[in-house]
Amino acid sequence: MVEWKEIKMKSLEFWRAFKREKLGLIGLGILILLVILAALAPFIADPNTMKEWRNPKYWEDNPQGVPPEWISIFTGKSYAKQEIKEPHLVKMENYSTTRVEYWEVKYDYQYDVPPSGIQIKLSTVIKNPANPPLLIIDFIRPDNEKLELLRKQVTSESLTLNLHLEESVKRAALSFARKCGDVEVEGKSLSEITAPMVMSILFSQKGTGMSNPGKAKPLKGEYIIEFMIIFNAPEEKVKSFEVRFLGRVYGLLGTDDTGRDLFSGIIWGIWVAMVIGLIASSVSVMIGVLYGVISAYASGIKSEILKRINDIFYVMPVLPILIAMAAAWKPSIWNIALLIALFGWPGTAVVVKSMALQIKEEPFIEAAKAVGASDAKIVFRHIMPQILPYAFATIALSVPTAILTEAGLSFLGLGDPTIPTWGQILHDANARLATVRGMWWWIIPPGFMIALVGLSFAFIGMALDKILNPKLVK
Amino acid sequence: MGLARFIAIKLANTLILLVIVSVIISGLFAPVMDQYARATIEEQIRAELQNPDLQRSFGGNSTAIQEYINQRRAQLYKQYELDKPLIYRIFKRAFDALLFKFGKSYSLQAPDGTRDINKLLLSRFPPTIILFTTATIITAILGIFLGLQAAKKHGSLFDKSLAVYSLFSYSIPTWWIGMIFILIFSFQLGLFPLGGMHSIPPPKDPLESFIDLLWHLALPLFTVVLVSFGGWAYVVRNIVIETITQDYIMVARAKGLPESRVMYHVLRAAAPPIVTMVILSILGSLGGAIITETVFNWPGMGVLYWQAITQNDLPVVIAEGYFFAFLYVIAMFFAELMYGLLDPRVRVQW
Repeated sequence: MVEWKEIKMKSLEFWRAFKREKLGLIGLGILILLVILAALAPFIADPNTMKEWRNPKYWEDNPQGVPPEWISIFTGKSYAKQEIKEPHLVKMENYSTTRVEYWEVKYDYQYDVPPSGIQIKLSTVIKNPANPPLLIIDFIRPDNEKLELLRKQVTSESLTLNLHLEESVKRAALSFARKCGDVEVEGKSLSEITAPMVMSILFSQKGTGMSNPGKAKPLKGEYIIEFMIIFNAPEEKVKSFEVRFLGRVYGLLGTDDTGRDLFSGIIWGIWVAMVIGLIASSVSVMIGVLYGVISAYASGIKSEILKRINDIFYVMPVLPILIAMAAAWKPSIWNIALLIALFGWPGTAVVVKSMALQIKEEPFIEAAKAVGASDAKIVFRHIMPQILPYAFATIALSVPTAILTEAGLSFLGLGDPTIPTWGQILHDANARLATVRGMWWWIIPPGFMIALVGLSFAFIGMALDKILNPKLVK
Repeated sequence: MGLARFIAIKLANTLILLVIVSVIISGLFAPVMDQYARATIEEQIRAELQNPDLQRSFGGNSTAIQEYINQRRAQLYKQYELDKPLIYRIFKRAFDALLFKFGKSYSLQAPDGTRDINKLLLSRFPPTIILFTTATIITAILGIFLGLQAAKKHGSLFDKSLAVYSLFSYSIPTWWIGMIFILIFSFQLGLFPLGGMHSIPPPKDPLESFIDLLWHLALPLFTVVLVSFGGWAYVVRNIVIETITQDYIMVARAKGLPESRVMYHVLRAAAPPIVTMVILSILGSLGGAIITETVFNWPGMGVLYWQAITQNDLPVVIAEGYFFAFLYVIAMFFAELMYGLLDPRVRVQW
């Protein structure tokens, strides 16, 4: 019981010293906040993120590559949000061999910036694939302009149509803009018309500049999309019908260009970063401490060999070797953590060795030896307790390095491919040229989080170091 | 111990370390190299068998074909020394590497179109020096200057903010800052190019070409310096403060030496570790930075390593592996040597 009291007293004493370190407290605060966020991940973020991150099908319903919702605060504009609507059957006409169904959907548009696209999901029963049903889509604007967008045979029983990407929609939009006297589209060919331009033409007031998302004035009001479906057999029918007005903004951190919710990726990434950082740094410091103490106790040729091995690991070019290994083996996250640890310990070992050598010469160790304490007892009872505080500071201080190394590997596409990590999000951003497309919401948050986690540990480690290394205090 | 003996011992140690390190690297990659060599041989034999003359000579006799395959395989194994034990190849490659005989790459080409790895490495060397060695020198000067200032006024607001800044830069990926800068300065403001080292096509006039290079260099150089000088300043500050608290400095102050003389004593004592740091960093900078170079599309050693990895060009990967390791070993040697020259106490320990 005496020991317990001692530990309690020592920790209280330590806490009092730690409380004086402002940076350490800030670091601890950030860390606690991050842990809370990570624990809440299943509730505040998509709970299937870990499992489905690599499955593009899971994310395909989200708008792709759109910024966060809160940008409206800064731009003062309102952006179309994601809306899913079901068209309803208006009327049906029966003829001898065909049946014509009229469906429509109404969309009340009150935003400044149009949706990023319109996606139609139509699932039908088709009797004869050689003579499939015909689908015709008309678009009616609040100013009563009517555009025929599309005329298409329904060849698949489950059809997904992205209107903003369809050739015929582009053509319809282009000729409508020309008709309305938009000089900006004069001389432009069809291939120069992008999805944002199509959406701008469809949802803007007539006049010049309507094709330019930056200049166009929104035409607010009720839009109607009319669908005419011509069936060729009585058994043929609509099974389900859905129209998605793809949002122009999404969630707290937007989406990447496959529609993945970046907020979910970032939040779940906290786990990964913490696991990598803590495992890699604690394993490497553990190896370093053991190696250092053993080296301090070894003598003669053994000591020489240990020193050489330490030197060899010290001069090994860590990142190139890790990259080569990761490229050859495609390791899991655990193996990456262990690999980082395997090359991270020599620095610690050198410091611990010199500490242990110093402690070894202290009178109380000699006293312990004199009363017949074994080497093992001296190491664990007297030397280790003096080194442990240093070890904790080193663990905290090497977390950022471990996280940076993992992020670097992931950034090169060599991380664990099955889970979302911040380095990987940055890898995707870089691979899809997010920088030159100005998709800042894809680049800033992951790096910011890497820095934040690293910083919290660095602050804590620094405070520990200051408490335990009195020379640096003043 | 005499200086000559100190140098001789250090040199011998370095040579031993070089040998061990190159054997280890050679051993790490030996299985993959063998696998690749065997695959190449099988492919070559298969290609030879497509020869119609050869096929006619077999006349569809499958045992004759098999015999030919075995014979050719034995020949080629001998040629590639695959018939010798693995350990022989490991040591042979290690010693080749020590003599800078890196051989030929699988596919990556030097500027003259050959697959000579030495030429390839030499062609990628200047860009890395231009970016990273320049950055290291600027960083070291800035770091030493700021670190000294912080140590002189330790406890001041300047000192504290420098400490916080150094922790920030310690936790931030340099390449991410690079991406952000490209986003802001190249994409949004259009002030700098998006990457690369020269405009395409490069300007003909030497002066214009130089300005073009500076224009491409500015952003990556700024990024690297910005992220590294904080750490430098902080370490220098700590070394200097540790020296200032020594008794002999207190004595120097107590007997009334002017502050400039006191600082001379401080600097003389703090010099060895700082000089060591300078040497290690400058030599280390020759290896470049793989990810930062990738982000800026800077055609240096780091990007070459990355290209070699992605194209599975093993000889280049291994050659650069040796190069990086040798660089560290040699840097350590020079650093220890300088330490020994500046601080005679070190020499006695050996």
